[in-house]
Amino acid sequence: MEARNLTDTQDVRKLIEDLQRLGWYHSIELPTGEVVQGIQTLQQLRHRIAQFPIPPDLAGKRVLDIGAWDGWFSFEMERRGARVLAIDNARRTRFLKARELLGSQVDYRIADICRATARDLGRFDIVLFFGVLYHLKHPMRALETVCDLSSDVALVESYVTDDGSHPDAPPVMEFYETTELTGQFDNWVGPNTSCLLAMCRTAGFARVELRSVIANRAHVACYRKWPAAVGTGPPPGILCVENSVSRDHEFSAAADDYVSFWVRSAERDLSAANVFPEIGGYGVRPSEVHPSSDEGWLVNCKLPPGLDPGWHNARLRVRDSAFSNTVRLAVDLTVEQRRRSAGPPAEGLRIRSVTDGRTFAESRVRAGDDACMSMWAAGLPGAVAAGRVSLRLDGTDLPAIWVSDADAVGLRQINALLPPGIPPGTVKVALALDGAETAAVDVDLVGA
Amino acid sequence: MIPPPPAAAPPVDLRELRRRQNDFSRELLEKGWFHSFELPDGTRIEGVMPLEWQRQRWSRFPIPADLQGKRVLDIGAWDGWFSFEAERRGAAVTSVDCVEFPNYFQMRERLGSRAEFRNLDLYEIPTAGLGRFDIVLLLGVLYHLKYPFLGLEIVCGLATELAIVESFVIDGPTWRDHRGEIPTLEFYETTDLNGQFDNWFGPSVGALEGLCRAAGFARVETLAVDRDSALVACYRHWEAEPESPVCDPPELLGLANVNTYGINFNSRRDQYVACWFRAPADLDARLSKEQLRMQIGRFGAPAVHLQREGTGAWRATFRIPPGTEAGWNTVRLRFAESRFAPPRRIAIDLPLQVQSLAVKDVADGNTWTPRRIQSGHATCWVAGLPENCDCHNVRAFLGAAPLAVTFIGEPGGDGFRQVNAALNPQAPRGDLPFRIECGGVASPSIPVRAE
Repeated sequence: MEARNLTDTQDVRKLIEDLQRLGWYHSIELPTGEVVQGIQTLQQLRHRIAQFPIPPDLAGKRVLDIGAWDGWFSFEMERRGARVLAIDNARRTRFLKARELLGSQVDYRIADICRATARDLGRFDIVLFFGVLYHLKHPMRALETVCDLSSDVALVESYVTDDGSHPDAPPVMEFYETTELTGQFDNWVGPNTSCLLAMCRTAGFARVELRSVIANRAHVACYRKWPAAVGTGPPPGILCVENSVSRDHEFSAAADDYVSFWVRSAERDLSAANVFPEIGGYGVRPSEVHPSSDEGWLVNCKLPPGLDPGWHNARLRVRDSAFSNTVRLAVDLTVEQRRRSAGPPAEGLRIRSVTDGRTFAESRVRAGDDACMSMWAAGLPGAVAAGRVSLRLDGTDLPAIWVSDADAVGLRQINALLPPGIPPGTVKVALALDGAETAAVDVDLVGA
Repeated sequence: MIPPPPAAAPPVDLRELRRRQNDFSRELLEKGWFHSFELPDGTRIEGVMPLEWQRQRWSRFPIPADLQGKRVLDIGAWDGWFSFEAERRGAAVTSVDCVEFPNYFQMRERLGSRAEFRNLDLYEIPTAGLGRFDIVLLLGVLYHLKYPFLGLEIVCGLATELAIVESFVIDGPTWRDHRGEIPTLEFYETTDLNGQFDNWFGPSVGALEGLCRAAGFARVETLAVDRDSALVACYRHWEAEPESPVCDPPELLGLANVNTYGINFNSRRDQYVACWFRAPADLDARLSKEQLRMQIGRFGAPAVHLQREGTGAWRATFRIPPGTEAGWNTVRLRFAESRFAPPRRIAIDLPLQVQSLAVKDVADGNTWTPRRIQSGHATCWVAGLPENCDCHNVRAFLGAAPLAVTFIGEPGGDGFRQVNAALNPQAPRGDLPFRIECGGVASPSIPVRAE
């Protein structure tokens, strides 16, 4: 960052005096080396930021500073090379004066974090959410917004009611109707450390890491992605993906939608701590992992915030396994849009017929509980693994749970499960191999 | 008969207790109904909730037996017993649920009900065009909300008279023992309450009351607390003015938006009005915020803060009640035991409409020397200011430097208002043009000497 060439020392002198008179919270170090002394010293501010894993070089990164106040954190991120947007709920003259004096390019906007959207503000590699949460009436909503706005990591600093020594205690949040907390009117909630971590997890982050608690301030790093290291153990297989509540293929980023994965894995004792789903590139922590049958597991997770309308790939891994098969699902696309599905064409594949998976009635498949679909097709490579194959129902993948050997005329049978909430009606079914797909055929789904 | 509460639970991990506390999923599966019903022909349907319990809950509602002419909104109607009961008593009923329960529609047909059903999330209701309701029922819904406070603010904005809120609470048996403590909510990350996934926050009774008050209701009254639920009546109005007041009304000194110090408010924001007043001597020594009765427009507003100023006057802060209509609203303040003071006005969402501005008689604010500002205070008379002008939206300039507008008077017979403004001590001095701006319109400049 280049300091503005400050030639008129008299003017600068006066501005600095103004700054001092204004009563600062953050201290600001000026290009001349002079420091506008705030209530928080430079040392304290550096100590706060040091609680978080932020690289010294942020060239090419976008940073959002929510509740920027006098702006020290914004200017520090800019100093490290980031492009910074600072937002606050009201115009702070001190921020603007400091920005002028520092010759800073930080963008400044007035926005309410409970109502902000990525459409208005964009998405950011790093989101700073320092000292704001306990000032909010709707903390869960704000954390969901913070998650939506961040593409990599959100760093949350909040007042907590405890010293952080029991991060597994029952999660409890105090409510401050008026001035109970520090005599100030604009404090609303005080979570304990456990509650803060639980709310961050619930907001949709993949990993939530408590860095430290110092003098009732918790520092939490919230990651949108799982660590890059991928294991080599036997991969789990996704058998079926559905909306956890409606049990169909409808997903919306605007609704608080949850995704159910029906999974096969020989691993034992799977839990939310060792199953790692990924949807649209974002990791998301399971809300529940249940055994469903022998080697069968049900994994539920929130549809990660921030998915744009369109097709998104979903997959997961467990413990040190490799990734499962990949399943494509649609977010905020209408059925008509999904039917105009645009996968690359699959060369050489040909659908012969689609039947009910149990009665083998042709082109008529029973919908509802325990429904499944069978397809006979030609052209699949000899030793194809089921995980590479899926039946696309109106564009959404029904992963193949079984692919037969070729029969006498070279046809292979492919079986797939249907989510029980898919409504009856005529659907389009295509065959997909490694994401490339055939032309679709019409199939009637009929009520049970 | 209400089923007796189960014997006290053994000391187990709190989370284990909560998980098993009230898991009625198996019973619901067996019975197929949540609510119980008695049909006109005497047929009874036994749901998870006994009919006697439903009737007892209803009997606790502070509402008349005859609901003719009332609009009732039942949020989280489930099988619909409370909706149909309100309708049976004469109300026009709208039922809202985020799930379309076939039981509701079956019962609506069997009872010949005309209740309207809308499949909506609570957060969608304000934009669904349902209008306002005399009475809003929020029974067994609050702890299912991820944003409970937002939910209550929405409910407050939908209700014109009363909301009845029933919720799971975490301290039913002990709530009286810790009144005065800071209230808490438990957070349920997954299936920690009742083994169900869609429970998020469990408030203490104190938190439930505090959330309801802070949501914007004038009065909140706890009607009943059972082992794990509480029933709260939330009123949008104060009790009637006393017929024989025992003290004088407050002497209202001033009124301002706490953010702008003006009289204009934005209904899309969480905005507060500060009110300066004096209390009669006998009350002054023992005044608490609970004794204040503020009415803004058609709704009551509780004081969120009360403090004594250096001048000896009181300053109280009130939130603009949700649902206050756009336009001019009267603001009236009284004590619990007094009549109202004379009303004042505030403007909500009122556009600033200015055609043109004229300024005359610029003078020093203390010495009244024309065209010379010697004391740092300027005064002038301005014509063309709109009715809702205030110290925030009227701006005064000397050259390029803004002055702080400190006072705007009522218009005189010639339509001119007195406007006072203070110079920044650091602002440039000399012969400078003085002008007034409001609503994007600037007055012609008048040359003034600032000393």
